[in-house]
Amino acid sequence: MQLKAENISRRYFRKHGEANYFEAVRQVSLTLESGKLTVLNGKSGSGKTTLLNMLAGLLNPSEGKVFLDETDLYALEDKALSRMRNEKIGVIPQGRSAVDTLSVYENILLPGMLYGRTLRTEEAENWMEVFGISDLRNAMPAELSGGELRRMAIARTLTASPEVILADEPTGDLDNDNTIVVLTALQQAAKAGKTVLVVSHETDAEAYADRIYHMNHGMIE
Amino acid sequence: MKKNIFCGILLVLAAVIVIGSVTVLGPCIHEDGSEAPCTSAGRAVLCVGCVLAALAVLILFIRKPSVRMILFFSSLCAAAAGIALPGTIFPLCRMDTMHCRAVMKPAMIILFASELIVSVCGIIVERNKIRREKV
Amino acid sequence: MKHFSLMIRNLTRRPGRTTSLILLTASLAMSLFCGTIVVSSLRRGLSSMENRLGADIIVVPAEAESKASMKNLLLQGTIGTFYMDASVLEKVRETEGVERASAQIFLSSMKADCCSVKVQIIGFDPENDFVVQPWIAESLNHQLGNMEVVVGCRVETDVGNNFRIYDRSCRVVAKLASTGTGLDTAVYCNMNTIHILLQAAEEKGITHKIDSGNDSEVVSAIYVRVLPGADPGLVNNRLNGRVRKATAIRTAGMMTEVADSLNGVSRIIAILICAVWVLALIILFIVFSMMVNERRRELAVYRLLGMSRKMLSGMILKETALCSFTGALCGTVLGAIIVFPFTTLIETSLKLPYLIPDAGTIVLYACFAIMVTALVGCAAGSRTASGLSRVDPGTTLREGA
Repeated sequence: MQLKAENISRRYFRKHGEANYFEAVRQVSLTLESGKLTVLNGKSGSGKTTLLNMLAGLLNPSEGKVFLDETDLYALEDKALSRMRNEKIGVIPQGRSAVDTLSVYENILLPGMLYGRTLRTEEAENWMEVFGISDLRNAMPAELSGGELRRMAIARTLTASPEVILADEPTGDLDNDNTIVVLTALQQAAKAGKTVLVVSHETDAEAYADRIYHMNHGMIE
Repeated sequence: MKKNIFCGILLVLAAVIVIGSVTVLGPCIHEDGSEAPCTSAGRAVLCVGCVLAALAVLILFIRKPSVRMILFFSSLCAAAAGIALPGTIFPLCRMDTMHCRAVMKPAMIILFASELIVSVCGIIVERNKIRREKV
Repeated sequence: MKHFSLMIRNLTRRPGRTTSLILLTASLAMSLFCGTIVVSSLRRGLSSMENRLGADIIVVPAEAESKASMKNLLLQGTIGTFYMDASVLEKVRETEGVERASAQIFLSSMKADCCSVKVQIIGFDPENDFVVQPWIAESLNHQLGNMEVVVGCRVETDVGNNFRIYDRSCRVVAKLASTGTGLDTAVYCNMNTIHILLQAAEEKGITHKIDSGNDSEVVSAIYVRVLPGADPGLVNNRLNGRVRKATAIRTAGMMTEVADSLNGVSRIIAILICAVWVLALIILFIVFSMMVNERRRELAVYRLLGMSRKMLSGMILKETALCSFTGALCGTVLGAIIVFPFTTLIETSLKLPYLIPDAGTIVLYACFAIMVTALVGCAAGSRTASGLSRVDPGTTLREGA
């Protein structure tokens, strides 16, 4: 599946210098191809996360369009867009993204639970094994470290196996060994035909990338 | 804390039964000091209340789930007997408006029934603990 | 129900929040149910008293305390023993405007006799009576014989038992239905029986303020029904002017006094219910507002993973509805545990006629309390549900990253 952004911008209305608005993303056009791992790097505050959120269907652009294959994401109503996000787009967000009232195992299976699909229990067990969190299956998120939570979020997305994977700083809380495991898994997903975008301000991911973009002041260089 | 919540509730209820049976929830008191027909019922309620309090204290200090389960079961039996005390096993005064019928009987039935329910919960919890230990 | 397991996990794994919601809605339901039952019981008691009185005017001995004793007897079952000359009955019957007049004689038993306390014994004339007889006819299909008694529902004895009064054995032939008035603690017999018991009391040395020396020439109260179309007030005045050493009391006046007291109590109950509801609703809104911040992150994850706004608000509303309904049910059950076993205590404390509604009406009130409370709980949570469903996952999850 191809994810394409056409001249998308995002403005926030707040005083910035002499202007009354701040442009986090400016006129960005970008195409993410299936079977490729794309890395988007840049300094903190360059607009990477805002761009990722717009590509994921989470943030309406002030201008421009986002297409998943031929479908204009933001022309869809919330119900259809949400379903598409659940089935086709997997997001690994930057922050903590666990539901505290569910165990690790339940969190990993959550995307399937929302629309009553058959739960991918085998895949869940496999990814928990790969990321070394099998022992934590019945633990609650409050008991986990930042790194363990991040691995849980990655396992959740990979278990759901969406066509598009958008990862925001996936190796942020991880040590070197786990960083390699995660980036390898994302690379393998790309090789299996998925469309993968990794947003990171670190350089580790570049070694796994098929394409690298650099973002600065809301624009892709 | 979690494991003692039921025996804590049992102890509080038993204390209310004991204190209540000698104060506001007790049998009728005749002005001339003579014994009312319900006095023996009041004494019986006090005795069972003391037994329940003693059982609750024992449960508090004992750790073994099987023994705790037996104690909860004893509590259940005592509570069941307590429900039958006022009016069924022991007679009460013969007018509905008397204190023993208007206050003591309904209050004690409610308190003993609460003891019974809590004892059942305690038995279930201890039985689950025993099962988990076996696994 | 979609997402039911998610809902249950959300509720059971946040026991503090869930318990506080349930307790709040329980207090709403309990106050509403208890208040409704008490007010309804008071109104039923008043209506019952009106029906049971049957008479327009009651004539009692002239002493000031007789009037108060009569009212206390009817309301609380306080023992009343007062007497006047039986010739008053004829004078009453001859008064213009009087359709019927029927006499009753009161007596109190000894404490040790039968019932642990003194009991009011009321002798009436089955030939002329129009007050007690219709009521007794509901429970007894023959006329009351000598040494036979009918007991009020509060007297702890069964039909067929023997009842000892002043060492005389009387047989209980019927037990009356509840009236919610003081008459529930009385024992009824015919005139022959009451005269035998008066004599027996004399033998035991217990006098009953009989001045005439001959108890067959005394009565305690005379119940009067006025002619259709006649003004009870006018008849009342005539009786007061005509009959010496006796006072005529209009029952309408007595009922008005009781109704005023009842209205006062109802008003207090209504104020208490309002106070509980206002307090509980304020706390409920505060809890829901706190929930907005507490659950923002959790719900952002649901949105991120593809839950639509409608699904999310639906899930939150269903959680709220489940808590509200559970709380309403618990509160109503608790209210029933308080108000029904302690009916006698409530009645004696209020000192007003008190008759609990029938089972069907109680179930109706319970359903009403549960539905209203559950709806209010849902309404209180709906604003939160709407707000939370609009959470921005991108921004929210980034906070504190």
